[in-house]
Amino acid sequence: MKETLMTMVESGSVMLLPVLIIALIHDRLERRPIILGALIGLIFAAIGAIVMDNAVEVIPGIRTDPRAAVIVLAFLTGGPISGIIATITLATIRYEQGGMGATPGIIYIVGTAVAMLAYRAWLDRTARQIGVRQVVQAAIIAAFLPTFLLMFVSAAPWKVFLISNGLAMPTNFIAVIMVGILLVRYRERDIAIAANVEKQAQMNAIADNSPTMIFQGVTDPSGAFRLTFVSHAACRLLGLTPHELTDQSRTFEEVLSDESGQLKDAFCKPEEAASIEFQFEHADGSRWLRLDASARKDVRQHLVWDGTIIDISAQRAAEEMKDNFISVISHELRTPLTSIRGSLGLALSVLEKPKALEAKKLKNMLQIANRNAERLARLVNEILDSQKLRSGQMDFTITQSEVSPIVRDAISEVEGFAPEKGIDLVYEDRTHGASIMVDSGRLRLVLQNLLSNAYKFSKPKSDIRVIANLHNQELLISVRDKGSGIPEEFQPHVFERFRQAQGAHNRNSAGTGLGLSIARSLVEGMGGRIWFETAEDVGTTFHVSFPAESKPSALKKSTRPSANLALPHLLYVEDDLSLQEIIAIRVGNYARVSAAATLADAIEIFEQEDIAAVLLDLDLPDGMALDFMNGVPQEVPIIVFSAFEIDPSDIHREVIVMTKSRVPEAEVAKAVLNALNVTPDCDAA
Amino acid sequence: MLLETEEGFAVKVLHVDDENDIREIVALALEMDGDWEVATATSGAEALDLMASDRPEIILLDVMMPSMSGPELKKQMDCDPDLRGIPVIFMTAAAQEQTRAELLALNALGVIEKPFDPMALGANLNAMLGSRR
Repeated sequence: MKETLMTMVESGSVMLLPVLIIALIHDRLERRPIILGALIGLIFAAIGAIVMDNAVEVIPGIRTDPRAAVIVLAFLTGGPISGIIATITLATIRYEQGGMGATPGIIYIVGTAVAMLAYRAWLDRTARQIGVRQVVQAAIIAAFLPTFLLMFVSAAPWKVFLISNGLAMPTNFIAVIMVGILLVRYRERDIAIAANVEKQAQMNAIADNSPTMIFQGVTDPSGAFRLTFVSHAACRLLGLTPHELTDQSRTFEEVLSDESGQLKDAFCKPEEAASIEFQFEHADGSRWLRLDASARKDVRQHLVWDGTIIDISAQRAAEEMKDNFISVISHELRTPLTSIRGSLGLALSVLEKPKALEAKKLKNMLQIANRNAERLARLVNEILDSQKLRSGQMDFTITQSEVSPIVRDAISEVEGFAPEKGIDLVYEDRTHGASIMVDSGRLRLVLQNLLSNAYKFSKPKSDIRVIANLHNQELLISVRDKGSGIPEEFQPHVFERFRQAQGAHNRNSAGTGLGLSIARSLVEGMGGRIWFETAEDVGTTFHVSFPAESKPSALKKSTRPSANLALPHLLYVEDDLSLQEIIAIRVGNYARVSAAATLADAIEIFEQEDIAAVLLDLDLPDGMALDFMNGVPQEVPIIVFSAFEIDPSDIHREVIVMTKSRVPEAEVAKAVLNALNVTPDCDAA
Repeated sequence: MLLETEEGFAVKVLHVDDENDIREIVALALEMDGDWEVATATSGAEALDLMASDRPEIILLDVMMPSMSGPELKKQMDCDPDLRGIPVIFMTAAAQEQTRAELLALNALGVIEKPFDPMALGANLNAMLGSRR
């Protein structure tokens, strides 16, 4: 009996062999489950062969062994493929052995296999992992199921049956439990290691992908600090690799130091948090960095610092700009306030000491107060506008607007801005009455800003030219000053808020640094573009451009509101729109006026309309109108009204010539009415 | 720009400011106050010229001016042994407390913050001059 037991224990021990082998091959073949399954199956087949060969002869002719455990374990650890391989091998061996127990023996083997196949299928369907509980369940199958089956098929006497199975049942049970739990533990440890590796990779990814530099360092008992871990952001923030920074052969000071030397003392204070902002000389320029770290003690009582470094250059720049803004704004607001308070204070004193201030000076003081109150109001509006633009609350009222009157309005607003500078403002209007889709009030504000800017930076006694030009469906307004130009380093910041070319104390004239930023936002808000050209000591030209609506003239084919088709039709060719307006008003009650600002328009209108008379300016933007004039049929009278001195030899027909600025407009109007054969009720002038 | 002389007792003030209105107000305020002889300059360069030809007893100096700021003028004066002794009072529209300290650190007699009370200007100057004597 003792010998029998020993044999069974040996058989069970043999089954530990696959655990070792599986542990060895599992990692390598993890990704090829079929091969792994087949290999495990073969291993268990071999073990099965050994076990069956070692079978204990309980009673002569009746052999027993833990083969059920082999099959169950093959299924449990290697899956169906492994199980089937083991089953076929064992069944074949049993068949080869023959004897009276062959049929029950094969049924015993196949029955166990079928039960395990079903069990595994159930495990898979319910997505259960194999754990200790599953191992116990499989052990129960191994111990009881084959025995239960044998009860029906075995022909052995009940005593023999009891003895052989009484031995097989616990052997199978213990073998499966022992080997199964070992394998489960091994698998669990494996999973835990894999999870750990994954977690480590995840932590590394977080550390390395973070824009913040994460670091760890240790201060040893001698007070020397060394970095032990540095994330990848160091390359970007410091221009140093983590490898360079964690070089243990160099001291921290040798590895990393800042401008003001704050870093080297940061990690000396015992058990404190460090938080410093420092300037660091990076390969692509100086930048501001912020370091935060907190300390803890490790098992060796060394101070371990965990911390971060971030780039705060942008915040620093914003703060600086804000400080600058406050200083500029306070100066700009207080200066007119000083004048208001001063002048009102003096004016008020007149009430106390009536003789103290003479009337003329009193008036002067009140004028100062008034003027500066206006200046203050403008400034406040500017600040509010800028705020509105920034938050996108500015509304535009876009309408078809003629450009030239807007430019003239803006000019008249700023004229006399700085009389002591003796600056001459010249406007060249080449718009030919073109219109653009803009908010006229806002465009005027833009131009005022550009003009006052030009005034500020102009040299005394120089001139400012405003040129409005229509070119290729684009309306371009340029404001050109002969100032000092914009320094190169300031050029990228021209349109930024609160930026002025001069330093805090050296401002060149009143200004919040908002004007150009407002101008740009307004122009872009209306669909235009703004840019500048500048040359040091030559001057600066700001350009504003908008897409122009159908080129010349809102007046092109317009007939005046009072137009009456019964009235004679006058073609008025003139590129100076203000003049066009003046004459049109004078004759408007007696004639239908079609205006043309270019030669091309004049020809087009003349061909399409029944023109009774032509009032003609010869010098037009697209050419001289001499040919047109000579081509007009004799019966249509022509009055030439031009600044151009006409050579009589160029005239091949009858015309009335009136020279601009010599003949008053009233005379011209009279001549026109005369040519149209209309008699005004009263003097047309 | 002589505004008032009173039997030679008037104190000669040079007021330097780029703002026309403020120059006018300061001149008038001191004129109404009495014992002041006010000259004005619109820039640092002009002030240096005036100082050389007619030495003022006190200078009222605006801080923020184009081309040469008040502190720059003061530093330039300190380099000139003839001008070093003239007391300077800064007038500033800057808001920051620190500006005041910076200005006083330039060895200025005092700082008057804008906006100021024009009727108290004369008394203020007298107090600052008095504290020096």
